[in-house]
Amino acid sequence: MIQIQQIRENPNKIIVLGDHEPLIESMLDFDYLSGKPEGSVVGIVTGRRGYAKYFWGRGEVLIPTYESLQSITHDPRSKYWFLNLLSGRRVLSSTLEAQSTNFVGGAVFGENTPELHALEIIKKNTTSSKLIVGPASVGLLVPGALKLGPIGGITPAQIEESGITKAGHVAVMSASGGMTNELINIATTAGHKLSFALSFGGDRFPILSPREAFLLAEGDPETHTVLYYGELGGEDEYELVKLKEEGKFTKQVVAHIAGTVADLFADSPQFGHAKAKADKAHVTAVAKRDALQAAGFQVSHSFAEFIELVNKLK
Amino acid sequence: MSRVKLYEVDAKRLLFPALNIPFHAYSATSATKAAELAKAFPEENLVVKIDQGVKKRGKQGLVKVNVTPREVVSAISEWSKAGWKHFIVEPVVEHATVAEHYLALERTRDNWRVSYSEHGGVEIESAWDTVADKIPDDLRSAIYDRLIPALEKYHIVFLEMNPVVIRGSNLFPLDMAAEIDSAALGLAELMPYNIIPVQDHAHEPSEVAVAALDASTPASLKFRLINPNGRIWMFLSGGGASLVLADEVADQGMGDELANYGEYSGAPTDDDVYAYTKVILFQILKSKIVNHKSIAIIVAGGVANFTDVKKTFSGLIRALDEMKENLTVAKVKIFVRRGGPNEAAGLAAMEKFLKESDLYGSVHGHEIPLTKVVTEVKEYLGRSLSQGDSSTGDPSNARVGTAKLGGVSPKEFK
Repeated sequence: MIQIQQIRENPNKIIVLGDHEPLIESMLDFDYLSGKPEGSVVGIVTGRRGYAKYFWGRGEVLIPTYESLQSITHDPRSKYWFLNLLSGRRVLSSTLEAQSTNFVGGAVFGENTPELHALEIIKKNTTSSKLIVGPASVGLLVPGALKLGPIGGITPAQIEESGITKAGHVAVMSASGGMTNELINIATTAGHKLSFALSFGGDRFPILSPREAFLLAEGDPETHTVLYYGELGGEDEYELVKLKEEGKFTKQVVAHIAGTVADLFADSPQFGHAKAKADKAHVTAVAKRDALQAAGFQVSHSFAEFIELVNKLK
Repeated sequence: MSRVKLYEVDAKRLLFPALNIPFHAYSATSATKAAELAKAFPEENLVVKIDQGVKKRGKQGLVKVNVTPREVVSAISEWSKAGWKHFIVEPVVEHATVAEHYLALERTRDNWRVSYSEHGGVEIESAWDTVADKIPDDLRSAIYDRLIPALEKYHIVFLEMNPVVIRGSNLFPLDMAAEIDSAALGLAELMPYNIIPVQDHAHEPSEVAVAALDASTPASLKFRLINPNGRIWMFLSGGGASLVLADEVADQGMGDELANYGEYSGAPTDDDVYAYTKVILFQILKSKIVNHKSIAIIVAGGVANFTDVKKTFSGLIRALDEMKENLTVAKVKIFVRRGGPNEAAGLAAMEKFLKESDLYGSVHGHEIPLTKVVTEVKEYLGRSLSQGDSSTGDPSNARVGTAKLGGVSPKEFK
């Protein structure tokens, strides 16, 4: 799998599957505000051959649109990323196709992807080993280098104010798209800059697992601290516990696991994300907080405490 | 977009062919007649069970074995009076109690997790330490070559069979509890089966209304009523932020006052938000505490990536505006914290509206922490309490989650 440090080197190019004008413009705005010589979005697979007009700073650029992924030739000097904006039902076929080509990774935005489809993509990825976030992910962000998806906001004002164009040493990882941005906000308000940020998506089986993301953070010389947001449901946090116990992860972490409110209900309800339901005792928010804390991670017991812990970070 | 329970009759309909078992289960309701059952089953000896995803049915008296069609109908009639709606009728499978085994399969990231015990049946709880991931060699083929491919074909991600009778190398499940991936229900391979999952709890009319709205838009709209007489109502954005804010209400000791959980996300249109808001406002105004105690509405969310704050707020304001007289009389104050695209314009419009209509609690953007708005609500409710709200010892504040259904509280379903 590509390392975060490699993303900071060489040009990153993005090919978008599907269409979403404000989102595509936001990636170009990020590139412009980061001071890059040109935009990273080099193609949009819309099913029609032609060009789409976008802003580049105060000027305009034309971005080619394509019938299919196959009709695009890659420049061998660049790293290519795909951004899959297709609906959940079309995630499997389109992502498998992108996995077979020359991409180093991608982001899958669509919600409502069947679990077994995500697992099929994961299975294929054990050999192709691409950095793919999602499904239901707002994307991957490496300050100054790559904004793949709506992560960090879609208006120029957001991108400028949030400081995501400047690089630092705090990594943000979150099961929730909205909370990814909230954590970025908390970190930057506390005076930190990001080394990278990513959203796993709230599905049961994220293609890039929290374990793999922690290993990326461990291998990244710029990352000193990880801010992690998880929720009740699913067993991914127990993999983080194992990593810590095996000595494979050594960096500072501040983690918050949301979902203690489930205890107010007679039976754990299904919350907003597909994974967010505690159907067994060991996947409640409290059980996972306890396990992470016992392994030696810093864990907050309320979100207010999480913010305090981040404010105290050196 | 999550794991949901299947009716047992559907689980058996989908999976019995893979196990080479003829499918004879009958889905019954209170309208089912004895003559229908007599026609469906040549046997006189039947079993009838509640089929609503309920666990431990045997222990709760929700199963009747060795009954005639006439007795089935009278059992259903009794259960219906207690609020149960779905029943499964099958012929009795004669077997010795010692032949009752336990087998469960769950899809995990790496594989299928198989749990097995030869001590299955109603007493499985006390035999839990005999459940292990080892299965007898005789059963490998039935599980790995027949059952698991069928589970994958139909996107069934969890299956518990307790008891399952083992005959040679064949599985004969008496009871099945299964969960299907709801995201797969629209796929071509499942369409012909017209699967409708079990509802996870008795739905209030407002919950049904929001579910219908949710189904009509690509955005996500969720609403669950916790306590119709609670004083804190939440209009939250985002799956994660909504959970964090609900946690915070409980963490600040106001769990008893939490009226609902819900969220809107995925770039809803202002019409979506308008319709969603109206449903919940009607629910608030139906509350018994209206005109007795002050009420706080929290409109909050994280810093949105792409949901337009101005647009979603315009739907909210439109709905609030139509009902502002009632809300003001009901002593409602609204506390807002939201960030994201067009944040400044959205917040300014909201602040102007709330101040003009005397509903203003507070309005903040991304500059204050997400959870601070809950602290403000606590201060407001505490302050208004000391200024002449009636007592808090109102028994109508009991939460609906523990409402009894058929003599069994939903907590015992688990």
